[in-house]
Amino acid sequence: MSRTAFIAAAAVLAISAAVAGAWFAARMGAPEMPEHARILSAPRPIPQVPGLDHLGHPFGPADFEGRWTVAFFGFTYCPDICPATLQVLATARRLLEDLPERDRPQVVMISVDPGRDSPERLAEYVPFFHPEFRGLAVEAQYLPELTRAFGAAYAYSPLGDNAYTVDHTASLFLVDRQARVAAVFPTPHTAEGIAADLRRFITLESSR
Amino acid sequence: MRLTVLVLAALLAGCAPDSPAPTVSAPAAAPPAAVPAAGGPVISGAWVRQVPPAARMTAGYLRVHNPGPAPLVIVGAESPLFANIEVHGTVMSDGVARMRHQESVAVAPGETVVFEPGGLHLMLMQPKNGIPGSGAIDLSLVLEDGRRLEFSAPVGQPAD
Repeated sequence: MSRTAFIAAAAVLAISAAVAGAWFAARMGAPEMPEHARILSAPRPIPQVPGLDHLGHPFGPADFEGRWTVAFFGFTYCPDICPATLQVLATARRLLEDLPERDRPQVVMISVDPGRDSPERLAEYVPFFHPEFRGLAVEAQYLPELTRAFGAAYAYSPLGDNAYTVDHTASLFLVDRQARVAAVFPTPHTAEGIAADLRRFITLESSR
Repeated sequence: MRLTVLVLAALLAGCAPDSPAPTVSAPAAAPPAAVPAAGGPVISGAWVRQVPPAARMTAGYLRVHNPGPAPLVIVGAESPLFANIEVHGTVMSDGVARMRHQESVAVAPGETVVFEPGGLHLMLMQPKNGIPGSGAIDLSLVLEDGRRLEFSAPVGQPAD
């Protein structure tokens, strides 16, 4: 056997062993890692800032506890990205309808437009996409602290006849049951990808 | 990325020194259709996003194909149902979505420009009697040479 053939045979054997090992590990029930979300090495607690949900009820870190939450930043004068995100999340939420209630994710749109998005306005907008989706209104003075915890950015730019638009981070944030920002879904988003990753997070959680 | 390039291309086209008005042969008697004549611009896949009744605005999407020999320059849009429509482009950079007004969007000869979520869109503002939640909305693209390309866009949600 030539040296080259020996190396080739050894390589094939090594790869086969690796594949078999991976397959065996999968069969043994090693939980899959999320494929779309980027997990934060150090989860960041949501700061205690005053906020109101779309029904006008106080909404703070405690309201994130006990559920997985998909949170994102948006505003109701946003005709393109925000409704598209809400629509994708509505489909993702329906794909997870078979889960027990405590595992079905909460979805929260945090408004980055306190000047125009009152709780009443959020109530007219957010639940349209899914009756359980919640809007969160936070006063302008507290937005920097809140967005910083998420690692999100926002800025105001003049546009059209609405006087301004809001540039904002379009990523989705996964908040864990301890009210900590635990992972980020970068764009683009698909309902299937988000739903599949949420199942993986739940499986990972129960395997610990 | 592709979208960013597209929008940048559109922006650059908008910044380019005024090219002579396209000399696409206009049909003799323009019928009120999206396809005025063989070789004329073709609009397809148009739709308007269904939004909550309280929404003040929505977005329209479509594909515009230019089979002609000269660039097609879109400078605006109109609808009997909205007092103001602008062409906007969403550009993503570092995960931040930025929406900007596009002065014009050029469709090069033989090319298709796609208005789609997360990219170029028609921003439909100031609805005259609320935004329809179903049915279809009559729209027209306004070209640099003053022509109007009429089309109808059904209201709905995309199949994602």
